[in-house]
Amino acid sequence: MLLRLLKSMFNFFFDLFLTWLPKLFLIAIFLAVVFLYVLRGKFSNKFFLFFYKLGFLIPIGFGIFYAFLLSAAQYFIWNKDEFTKILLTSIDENSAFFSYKYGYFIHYILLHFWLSVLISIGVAFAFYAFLFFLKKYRERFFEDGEVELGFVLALIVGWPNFVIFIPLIFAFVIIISIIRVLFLREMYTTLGWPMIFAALTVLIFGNNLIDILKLGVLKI
Amino acid sequence: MTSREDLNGKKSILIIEDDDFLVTTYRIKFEKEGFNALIATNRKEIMSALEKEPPHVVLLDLMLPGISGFDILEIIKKNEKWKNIPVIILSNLGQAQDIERGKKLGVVDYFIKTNVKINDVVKVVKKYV
Repeated sequence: MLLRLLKSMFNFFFDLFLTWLPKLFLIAIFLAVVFLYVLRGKFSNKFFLFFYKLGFLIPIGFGIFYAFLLSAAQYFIWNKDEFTKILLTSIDENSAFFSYKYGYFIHYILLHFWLSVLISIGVAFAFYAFLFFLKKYRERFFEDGEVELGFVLALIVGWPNFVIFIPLIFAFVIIISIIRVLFLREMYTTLGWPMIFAALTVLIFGNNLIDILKLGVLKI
Repeated sequence: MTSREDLNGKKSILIIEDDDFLVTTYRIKFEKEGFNALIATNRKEIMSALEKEPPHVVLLDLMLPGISGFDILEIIKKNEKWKNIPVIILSNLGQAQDIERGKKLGVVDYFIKTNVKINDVVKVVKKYV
């Protein structure tokens, strides 16, 4: 009786953990990134700069950790039941890459848990390269640290939210430019704040926007 | 016997899932438990299965080729004939927004595949038939 109670409590909290962990982590890392971005001019010590430059490793590390956690959870849950145990050692004959023992399980976790993480990392690196070259040719679009900021934000929004993150940046560039011209008489807007507002919008309304724009097919 | 039970008096479950291995596992398991397991993997098959004979319960995967599980859920809940069929969602990632959306659309239960044994799914399905 007690064991069953403990088991259902564990399942309840593990469910909550799996459900809320990514959301809470992404919000926390987003707030930390904005905080560091705002303070970047105030600190010039090497430790701060080192952390700022390598901050991208945190969302990458988390993505890999979460995919690993889900893969391990899937393994243990299938392994617990005699009926589903067979899924672990099955050969996936439908695919040339996975036609060996454990092939189906490897295919399953790659497709369901790892692919979106790998795509997120890939598009974030591509975005970083784009910003890097854009900065070379149009220096005035950027203040110091904004290329790194864009890279980390792209990692935070992930796939498929990245697809709506990009047009939102342009939308916020226009909105913020108009506000700056009207109220501050400033002619230039860099990409920092538009990227932050775009990422915030995606974090809050990403799922709804994906549905409204019928982009659900991009979800993996 | 209700009109939806087959000739052997079995309750029917519509399993909407595109993974062949999982489909086979669920089918065998539910048939072993005395259900008539119907399988659908895409929109055409889903609509055809629902129109032919509304099942007692639907087990719905959220990620399907070409259509989202939520779209299917909306179709079911908007149709007078099908709106009272209990729908149970099975998802790979327990995203908070997805759970909330599923509840709003009227799902009776929600499972994250990484945290549920097939026997627990069967127990819950039996609760609703």
